[in-house]
Amino acid sequence: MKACFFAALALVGLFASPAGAQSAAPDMAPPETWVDHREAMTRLELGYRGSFVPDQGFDPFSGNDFMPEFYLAASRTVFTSGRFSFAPGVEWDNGGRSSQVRQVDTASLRLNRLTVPLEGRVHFGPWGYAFARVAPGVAALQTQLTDASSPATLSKTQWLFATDLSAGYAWLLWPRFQASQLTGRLWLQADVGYALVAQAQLNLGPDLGSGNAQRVDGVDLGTLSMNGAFFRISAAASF
Amino acid sequence: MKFTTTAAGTLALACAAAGCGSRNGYWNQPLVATSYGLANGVAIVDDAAHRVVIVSANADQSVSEQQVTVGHNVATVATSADGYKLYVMSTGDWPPQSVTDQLPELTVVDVSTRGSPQVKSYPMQQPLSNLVIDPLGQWAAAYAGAAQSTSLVENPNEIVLFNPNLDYTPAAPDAGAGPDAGGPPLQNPVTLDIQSFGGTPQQLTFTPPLFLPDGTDANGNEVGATTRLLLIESTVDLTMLDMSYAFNPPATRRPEITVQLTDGTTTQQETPAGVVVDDGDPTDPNDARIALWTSTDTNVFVFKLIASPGTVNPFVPSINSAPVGEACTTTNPGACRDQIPSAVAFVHTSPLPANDYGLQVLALVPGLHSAVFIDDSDETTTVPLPAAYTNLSLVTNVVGSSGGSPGPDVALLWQQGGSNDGQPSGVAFWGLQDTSTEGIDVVSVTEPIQAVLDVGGSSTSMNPQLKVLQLEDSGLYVLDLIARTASPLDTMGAPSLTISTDGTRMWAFAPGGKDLAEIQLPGLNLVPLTTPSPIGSVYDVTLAGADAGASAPSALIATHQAGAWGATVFSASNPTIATARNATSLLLEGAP
Repeated sequence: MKACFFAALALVGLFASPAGAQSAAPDMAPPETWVDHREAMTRLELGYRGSFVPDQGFDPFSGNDFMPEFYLAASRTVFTSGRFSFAPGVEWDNGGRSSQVRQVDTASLRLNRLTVPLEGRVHFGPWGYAFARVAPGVAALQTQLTDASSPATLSKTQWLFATDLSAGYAWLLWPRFQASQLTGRLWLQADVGYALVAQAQLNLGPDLGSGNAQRVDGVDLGTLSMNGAFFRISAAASF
Repeated sequence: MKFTTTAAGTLALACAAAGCGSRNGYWNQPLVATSYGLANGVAIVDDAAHRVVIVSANADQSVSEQQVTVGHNVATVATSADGYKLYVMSTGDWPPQSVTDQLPELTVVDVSTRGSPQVKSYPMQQPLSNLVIDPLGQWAAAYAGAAQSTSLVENPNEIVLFNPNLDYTPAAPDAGAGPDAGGPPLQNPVTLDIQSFGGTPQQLTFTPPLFLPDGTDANGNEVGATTRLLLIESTVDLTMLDMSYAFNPPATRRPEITVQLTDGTTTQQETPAGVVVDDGDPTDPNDARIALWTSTDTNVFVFKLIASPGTVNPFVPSINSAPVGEACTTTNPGACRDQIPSAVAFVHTSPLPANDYGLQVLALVPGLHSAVFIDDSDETTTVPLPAAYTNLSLVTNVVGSSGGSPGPDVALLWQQGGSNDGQPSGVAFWGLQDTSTEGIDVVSVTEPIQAVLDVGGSSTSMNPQLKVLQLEDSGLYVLDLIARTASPLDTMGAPSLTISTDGTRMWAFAPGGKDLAEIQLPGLNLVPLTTPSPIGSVYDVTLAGADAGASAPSALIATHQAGAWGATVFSASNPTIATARNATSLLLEGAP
């Protein structure tokens, strides 16, 4: 998880440098090279993601179908044309649920998603922009069951292909004008979408540690598909 | 902004439509389960989830699980004598408050075939609490018994008979004379209202096959037929139902026969304690007998089933009662209570009287330190015994009769618990050459006996000559009926015992502990074992897919009731910790 976080930060750093170089241009350049920094920008998003997982495989881990997540994303505009722009980035989502099972056990689930959002934007000047996003990537699904019938906690970690499809709107909070000015800007944004995650097999095994000669079989809780609709609400900063 | 508001609204609607709802109720149900041993697995009844999980062992000590849906609110669970059928009787959602509420039913799970269990369900009209399984596997009977009423009005004399080998068949409106006469299939189950003289059924028993009078042939000669009876003991009477006709349409069903145990002049009620049956001379249809005793009377009731020409039922019981102790009266209830028989059996004695085949009723009366013989003419002979023996079992088929064949029986006598002076009375072999104590041979044990267990209850048992004496405090003895030796085994506390069907091993364990031991029979070699979790119960089962029989490969499944239940599986032929395998969270797999 930490590795994902630092990778995201590094990518933000990579994006930041060229943006700075480009943003210095409008002040010194003639009007024809004028850049609207509400469109061409490097953005950092931090927000809340709520996913709805209707799959029955999610039942052991949650009393309902909802999974809250925190997410962090960075993007950089790499192409603009009129009101349209395109910005790739990197995103890390992290969330989990835990629940009591049959009133005797505790099952927990944690999902880390590392994706590359590819975002197309339609800009509306000081009112922000609408966007559509495709974010292919991978998800690390960690599941765990604590059961007194097992000599050790039962767990499994799986890497799965994952893709988010979403659309939303980013509203420019401040400053809404001085488009050419290279300065920090604050945004509020929301999007809704659908997440696709490859199906996971929940055959959890005991973590007995090396040197333990016990033969212990785990539990097969079936399959879990984390597919489902989601929404995100976030704040963003651009420069 | 308007866009985001719309999006949020859409999201809220989508959330509601997608059902951000709660999960399957199964995951919230409390886990309260019970386990039952089958011949080839362990059935765990998970009532809250309305299912039975059948756990079987594989050759590599892993387990396989199969689940079967059963009715709501399980009331009674029983297994067949051969261990291949599980009977689960449920009360359903009673009283029903909607059309979706489930009715009471009996679910029969048959695991005798390879692959998935065969399941048959039989809806019932009202919930019943007690279930009796025919030891020969032909029928089952449900009745209310002494259970609390669950309905505003209930008929305690209603008995439901099932044929678990046939599918559910509702009553046909034009049943006629039955399928043999071209009618529709027989109803299954069938509900009978047993005639009552004020009593309610307390105990039901399916008899072994009996050769009984069956009318006359074309020449007017009396003939017999082999049939079986259902004996229904109530608080005031004994009812006999001919099972050969019990499922017939009412027009051809033979009515039950009820015999009152009291003279009808008092309101005295009896509490049935037991019933024994003997076919007598297998060639004589008039020689089958039933003996019944109660825990409230010193009389033993003996019924002889004799021909009854010209009646619907071709036989009728002739009843006799013989007191084996002081008669019970309202003025001396305490005295008579001490003289009530504790065990009754039909025994052959010698010399064999020509007229009664030497068959007598033997009743143990521990309060009098005596045994009482009741002969065919109801004459009683009391024999003082060296101890207050409470239990008896006939071991003639193992040790052989001492007087030829047919000859006098050999009875094994023992006293449950210690005597009044705290001295153990041991076990006694009693050769019934005559009605005296000359043939008694006592084998001493050092502690009062809690129970006597057969080694291998099946006909395939390889050591039928062994019995295990479980002692009250600690320890046990392995009794050899032929050598008349009792080999002691020391134990910590009073362990629970499980004996394999083939009689070649016994498992001892302390419920709640992790220690387990295999005791190989007859050599008494010990193999100490441990499990990773506390043991709830242990079952010696044949491996999944193995054919039944004494040589079938077997495994020991020790269940752990902590959490979502687990099990440790040992090879029964070579149990070691190194090859044992632990299965976890058995009741979380296959969630509905």
